[in-house]
Amino acid sequence: MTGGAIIYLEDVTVDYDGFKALSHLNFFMDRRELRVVIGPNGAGKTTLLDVISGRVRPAAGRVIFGHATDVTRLRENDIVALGIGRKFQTPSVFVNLSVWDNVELSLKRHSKGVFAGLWESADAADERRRIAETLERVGLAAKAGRQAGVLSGMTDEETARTGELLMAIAADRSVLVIEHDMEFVRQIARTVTVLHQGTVLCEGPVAQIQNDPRVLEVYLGQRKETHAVR
Amino acid sequence: MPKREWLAVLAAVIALAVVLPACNALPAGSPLHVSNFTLNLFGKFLTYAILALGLDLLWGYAGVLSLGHGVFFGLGAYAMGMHLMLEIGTKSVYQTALPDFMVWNRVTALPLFWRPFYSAWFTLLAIVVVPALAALVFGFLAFRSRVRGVYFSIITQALALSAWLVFNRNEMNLGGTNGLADFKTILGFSLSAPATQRGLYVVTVLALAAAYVLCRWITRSRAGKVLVAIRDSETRVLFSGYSPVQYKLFVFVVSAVLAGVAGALYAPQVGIITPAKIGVLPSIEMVVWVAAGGRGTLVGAMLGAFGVNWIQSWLTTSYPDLWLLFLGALFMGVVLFIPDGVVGVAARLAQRLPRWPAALRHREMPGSEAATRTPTP
Amino acid sequence: MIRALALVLFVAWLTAPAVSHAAAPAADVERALADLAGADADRRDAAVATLGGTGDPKWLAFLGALRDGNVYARKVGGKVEILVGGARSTKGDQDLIEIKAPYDGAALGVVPVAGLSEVAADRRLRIAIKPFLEADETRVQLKDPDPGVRRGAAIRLGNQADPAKVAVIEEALAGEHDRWVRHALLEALALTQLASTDAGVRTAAAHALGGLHSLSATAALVRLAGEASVSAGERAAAAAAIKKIERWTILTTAVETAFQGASLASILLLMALGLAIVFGIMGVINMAHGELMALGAYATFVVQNVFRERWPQYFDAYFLVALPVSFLVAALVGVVLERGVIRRLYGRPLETLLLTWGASLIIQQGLRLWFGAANVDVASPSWLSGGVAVMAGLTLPWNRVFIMALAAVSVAAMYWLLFRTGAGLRIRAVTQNRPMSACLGVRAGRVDALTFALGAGLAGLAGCALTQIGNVGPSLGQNYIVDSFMVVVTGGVGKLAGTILAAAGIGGLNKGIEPALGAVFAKVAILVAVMLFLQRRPAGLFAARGRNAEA
Repeated sequence: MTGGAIIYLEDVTVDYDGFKALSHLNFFMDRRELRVVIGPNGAGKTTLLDVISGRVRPAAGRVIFGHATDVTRLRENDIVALGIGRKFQTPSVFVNLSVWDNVELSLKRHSKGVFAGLWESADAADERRRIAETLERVGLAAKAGRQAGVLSGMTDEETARTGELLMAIAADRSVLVIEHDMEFVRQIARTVTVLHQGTVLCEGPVAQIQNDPRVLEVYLGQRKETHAVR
Repeated sequence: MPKREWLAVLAAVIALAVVLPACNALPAGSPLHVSNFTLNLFGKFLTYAILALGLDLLWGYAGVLSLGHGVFFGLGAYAMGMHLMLEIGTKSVYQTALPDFMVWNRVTALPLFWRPFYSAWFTLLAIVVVPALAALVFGFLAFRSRVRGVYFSIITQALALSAWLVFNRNEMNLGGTNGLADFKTILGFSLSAPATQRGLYVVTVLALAAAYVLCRWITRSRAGKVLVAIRDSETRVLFSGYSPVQYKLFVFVVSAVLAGVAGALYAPQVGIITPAKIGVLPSIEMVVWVAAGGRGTLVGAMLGAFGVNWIQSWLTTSYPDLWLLFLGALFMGVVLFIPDGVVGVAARLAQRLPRWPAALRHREMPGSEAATRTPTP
Repeated sequence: MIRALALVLFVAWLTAPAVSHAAAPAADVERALADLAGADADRRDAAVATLGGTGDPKWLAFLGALRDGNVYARKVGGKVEILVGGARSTKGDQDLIEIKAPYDGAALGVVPVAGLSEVAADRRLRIAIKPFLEADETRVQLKDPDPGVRRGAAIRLGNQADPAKVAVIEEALAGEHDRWVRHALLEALALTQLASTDAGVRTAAAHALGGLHSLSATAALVRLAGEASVSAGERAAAAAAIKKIERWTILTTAVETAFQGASLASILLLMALGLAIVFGIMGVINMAHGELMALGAYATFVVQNVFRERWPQYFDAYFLVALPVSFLVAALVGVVLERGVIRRLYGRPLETLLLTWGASLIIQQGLRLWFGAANVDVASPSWLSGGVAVMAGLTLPWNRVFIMALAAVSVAAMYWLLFRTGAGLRIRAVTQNRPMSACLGVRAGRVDALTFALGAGLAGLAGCALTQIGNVGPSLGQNYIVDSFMVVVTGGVGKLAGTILAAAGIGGLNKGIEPALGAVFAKVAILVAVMLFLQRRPAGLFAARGRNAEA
């Protein structure tokens, strides 16, 4: 058994027409842990999330959530129902719905099936309260009725506050973050996992990772390429 | 639904289902007289409006463009047509219990699948269930494998083509190219009697009102919001824990049923149903009704179905050569210049006017696809 | 009934002792001519048999005149005289006619029509005449310079299986060098010998027919194999030949089906090629593609008419001119469409789809108003008519072979363009990543226009090719277009190989199941197959996978 692990990837391989995005990857995360995954381009960070959230079905291996649920057999929305949420790299909202509606749709609820969706929930009042609370927390209460499409992007200050938000969220959840900005990583991370060529290169506290020669080599090896792209 | 909207629906029903038939019953010389022909024409347009509601639910809200709705319309119409054919009985040209076209095709016994259609109850059931099942199977296969966007449209068009080919075949025992026609009675009432046609017309108005209330109920519910969310970003819907497959399948089936009901009301009022109604061209024409009226607004879909068909019936009698040119120009013009249709234009005008009926100013689904393009990650 | 009688007469004629050009006794001819003018149908038939039986070209010419209603009778001193009519004229209020002797055509002067009675050739008489004239025709055709004509005549001889013609066949064989005409003659000879009264000849003929894989001999061989009155050895020979032919038939049927599949596949490929590159770059199916094809077809029609009027002597060359013209016409219209309207709708595939559908209706109706709703006539150049015989029992029509070649050349040209030229590199770049290409200085607008022109041009080319195998009408595009959509959807975006493979798969599958299901249900089966295929690969054969797969 996996003990205290909330998610456990065992020998996972993802193959994109010959290119191994993940190769025999083993990875696990504890309950209520905030984990940051870093790694150079093509290391498999996004694919890792894709596998956990069910977007990509691995060619081999298991992904165990909780005690014994293998999520590789489930559809994305069923995985969400288990309690695994995902936020994408590019922020996106339902632009044709109001801010309120956006939050309403993302609430966790007993059934997200279409027939349940035709009738108002039994605890509609409680639901409204939760929506209002959420909007209050993210500071959008005043714009609840507006079309979500008119919201603008985040400012730097807001980005910094996102870190605080993340840590607050992680208080009672397990959070897996993929990030490039080392400043931000230092701000939030306790444990960092470095991916390279589809496998775990090393794992440990931020300070240790930053001085690990293997990590430096991997990133320095990329420097030339990075330069060329610029 | 807000009370004001209920009142609006009621007013429309009274105008269409009480006033118009009453005018029809007036003597021919009266200035307010509405001819049988006009009433019949209206009845036909209203069946199209029922279909347009369903198509709008699918395309305008969930963003799923079906180019094969003629098939579901046809399934409903053929189900009704089969019942009406059997009701003719021995009053047919050959005075046999078999429909005339079967006699021509040397079919000696009524095919098995025709037999249940003797029953009016079974027919009513079939009008709903057959299109629903067809949509369920087809939609399940398409949506489950994530066939979407243009791919889905093309596949539905192929469905329309296939259905058209199949219904044209004599060995299907559905009348081949000539379809089903020469109906005599419905539930014992003569179809040539103006009173029967009036009755059918009133039933159509009521069906349209019921369809509108149903669609309104769906769009106002949380499920309706999910449908709009699917149009915006299916992936995000998926990762919000909703199954787009289930929602799309649901709305596809609902819209197929509405199309089937529309077809079933169409057949007795027009008196004929042929494969020509279910092919590629009629199916895509239905889309332009919705586009011209204003997709994403239920009122727009109904107005579009009514308006485009009115123009069609006028053009095809006065300038038959121009109809296809007009239709082509309508497709291009609507897409290029008024992507949110006539209702969208009206709403934009209404916003400039200070005091305009609230019903028009407050649009249900602001924004067209143009305004809703999501940034691609 | 009449047919049976004609057959009896025909057989009677076959067994008549007088074959070849031996002249019938003068008395018989006299009587026959007199009978012709009579009313007794049986005797008239017998008279035709007598005259035709002479095998004399001059009597055959007379029978031809009789069939055409140009033979007259007049009473001269109580005796009926038979005459052949010539030129007619009028003098005053009298209709005059030139008359000639029935046998040698010697002019007998001009007489009033009123004095003659027409020897009417009713249906029955015409049927009695027909085999004699055809037999004569065959003899002439066997010396025709065109091997196709000679082969046709040989096949006819084989069908007749007339023992009297053995000499004719052998004579033709001696002078024949063309492989397929020889084959047909040998087949005809063996078929004729199979009807021989000599058991040894029959056995040898059966052997020969087996070796020739003669499909047309099957019926006769089956009869022989089941005949109780012949020897066991002969029956065995027939049975062995049947088996051989059957095995061969399986082979030819397979080859033919494969060819038809390949032919349909190349038509689909020609159409889908343009559709696919436009789909690749814009993510939209161009619904007007079928009408661009129709434009190409009508351009071919116009070029043909110009040649027919201006340079009839070079008529055969019109098609070579029509190919580039149809490409250019369709490409031009395509560019106008793209620059004019489609350009405004990038990123909105469903709306573009409706827009192009609208354009298709306008083009279609425009063609209908300009050229008329009826199909127009596009003649094949002589070098595309006929076919090439590749094996016994299988001839492949040139027009189909040409379309396959055209598809192959188009694909090769596309590969060259996409992978060997700068423009191709830009097209591929925009297809893969539009914003990134724009960042690198690729002018996406020009690439779009170029791609669209190319796609439209290919549609025009496909339309030009279609004139050779189907009807040309305003709705020409509609017949194949949904199939080519299926090809594009199955093939997926951005890879030519997907389109090629999908065209081959759909074309082959269609022709493979058509014999079992019929054309309509084969099409339905294709849709079902595509649906099931998309269950496994929703984005087609060669969909991009990985991070960029979908938004």
